Amino acid sequence: MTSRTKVFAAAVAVVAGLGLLIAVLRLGTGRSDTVRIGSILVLSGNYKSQGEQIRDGQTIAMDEINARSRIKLDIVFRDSEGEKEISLRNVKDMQSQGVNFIGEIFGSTEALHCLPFIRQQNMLFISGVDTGASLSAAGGKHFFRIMPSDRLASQHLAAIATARGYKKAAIVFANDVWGKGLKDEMEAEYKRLGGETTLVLDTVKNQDLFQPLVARLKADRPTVTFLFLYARDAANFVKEARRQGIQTEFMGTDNLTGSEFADVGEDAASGVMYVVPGPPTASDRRLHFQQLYKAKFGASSEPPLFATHGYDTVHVLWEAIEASGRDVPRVISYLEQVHYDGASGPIAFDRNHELVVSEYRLKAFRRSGGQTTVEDLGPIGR
Amino acid sequence: MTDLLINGVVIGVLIALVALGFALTFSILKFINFAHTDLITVGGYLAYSCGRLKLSVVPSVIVATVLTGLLGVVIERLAYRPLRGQRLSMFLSSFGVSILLNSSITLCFGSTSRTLPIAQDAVRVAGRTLASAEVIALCLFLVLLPLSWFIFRKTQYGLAARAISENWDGVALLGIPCDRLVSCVFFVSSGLAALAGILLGSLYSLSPQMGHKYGIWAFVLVVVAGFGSIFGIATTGLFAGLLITAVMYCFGSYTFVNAVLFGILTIVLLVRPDGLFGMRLRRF
Repeated sequence: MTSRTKVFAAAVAVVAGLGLLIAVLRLGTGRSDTVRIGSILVLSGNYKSQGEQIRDGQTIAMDEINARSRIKLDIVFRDSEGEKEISLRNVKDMQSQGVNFIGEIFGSTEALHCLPFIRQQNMLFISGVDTGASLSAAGGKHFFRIMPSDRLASQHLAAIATARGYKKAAIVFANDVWGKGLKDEMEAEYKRLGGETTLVLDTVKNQDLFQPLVARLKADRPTVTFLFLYARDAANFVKEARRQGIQTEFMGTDNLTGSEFADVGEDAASGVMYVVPGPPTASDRRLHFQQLYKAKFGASSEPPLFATHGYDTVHVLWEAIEASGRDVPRVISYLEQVHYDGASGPIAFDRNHELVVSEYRLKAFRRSGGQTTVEDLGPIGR
Repeated sequence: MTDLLINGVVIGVLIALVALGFALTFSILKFINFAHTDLITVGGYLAYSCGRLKLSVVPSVIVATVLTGLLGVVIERLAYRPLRGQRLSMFLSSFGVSILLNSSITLCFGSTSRTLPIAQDAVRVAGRTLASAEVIALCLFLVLLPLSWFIFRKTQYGLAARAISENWDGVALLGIPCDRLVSCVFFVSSGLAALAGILLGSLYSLSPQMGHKYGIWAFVLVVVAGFGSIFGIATTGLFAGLLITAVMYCFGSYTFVNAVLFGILTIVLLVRPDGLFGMRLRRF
């Protein structure tokens, strides 16, 4: 062996030894000091504003956690483009990179498509915005949500509509998992409370041709019209309805909470009502989040609902991971017992992993001087 | 009910404008220019851009229409002319151009829908309140379709254009500038697409995919009407608009529209493969 070969062999041995040492040290600590959570949002297209709201809330939570925690949190944001196949591809990609916790899959249709894989791979998915009634059954113990299901939302919506004397209704819905689920729940609940659904109109996402449907609505003369459409479509529908001079109340759920409905609907949005879960007064956690949100984004108004839910989703998941390690079954067990005081209100889950909701409130858009504000009309009694 | 009828007619008019552009290019080069659907979108977005540049309504419409017409000419020169005579290759090339245009629009403007603030004022016509864009669409229909028919059936240019489709070499031997004539046809058909795009953007909204929906409806219309008949396209266009409106009104659903339209297309192709008013499809 020449001296040159000996030097080379020694160098290889040193490098290999160092590599082995690092590997042993890492094994000794058990894992890296970063936990990765996946978040698959709509970050392009017509509904990106809602995805961006969730990302804003989750980013604030991540910054807050990383400022105080030794173990760091890394949220991997991906754009689903509102497509279920892209969402699933992202989930699979993340799982192959060792990500076992999903902090959001935006959209009930997309979430429903991903849940079989999540169950199969023993992952955990907690959602702050998906409301599709069928998600709990599809996700089983691997799915939690801090947004009430459409079943609960429709119960409160039906209750407030009938209490206000709106006994004849039309339903306009987006013909997908979310819209159809909400429509079915609403029809059943409204009928149970004595209301009559006289007209059901279905649309597709991003539809722009509403005149014939609005003309049909005008002929039916319902006292209330439930809008289970995506925000932009709902805004365009209401605009056309106002143009045709329809006399009906418009009501929706959390689908109308983003800025998009008010922005697109402009004057037509005024008077449209919606029901959302939430406490009547701001908790300390909520005030804290408001301050962080305004400091980061310079916003003058309150953080939107989806940002608040994104913030809470990350925090409640992080609390479970911190308390029980990164083992998915142990995190699930922790979440089943959790009582967390979130910015959106108290967070606890029932045996179906649905949010236990203390209260729903009725809100309405008001338009004045070119500005849209939201008026709180009070709690909904059932 | 009158509002509904007007709405149906307006939709039909817009589809017919797009279909006319399809039919013009097909009548000469015998291929389906799929990129025509995206020229609708380009026209709408160019008008939107002109508006952003503080141009008033009329100059915006003129600039957008002319630029889209010129774009159609450039597309024909670069993407179709080198492949002339190879219809399948030209068709596939038009797919490529379509994707290129669509991606470019998305890159430049994003995929979020936008409002085109052109001709949105309400006007009173015979006691009815209509959007200005609806009135303009009806006027364009009444002017452009007879004009197209006159040009293609009664003038030497039209005669030459039709002759090109039958015997290119023979027409060229007579000293008629065939390439220039084809460019003219592409300019006109692309300009029609732009006008339709501007009106659609004004009545509904602009989005990178807007052209595809109306383009596909227009394609169905052209096949059902038959490729060679301008008045067939006009008549079938009005019928299609009323049918779309009626289906949505009766079923309370948008989902049924495509099912009904494509069902009719299938039946027409089975019973009259050449279309209701058209020349013989099987020759192409």
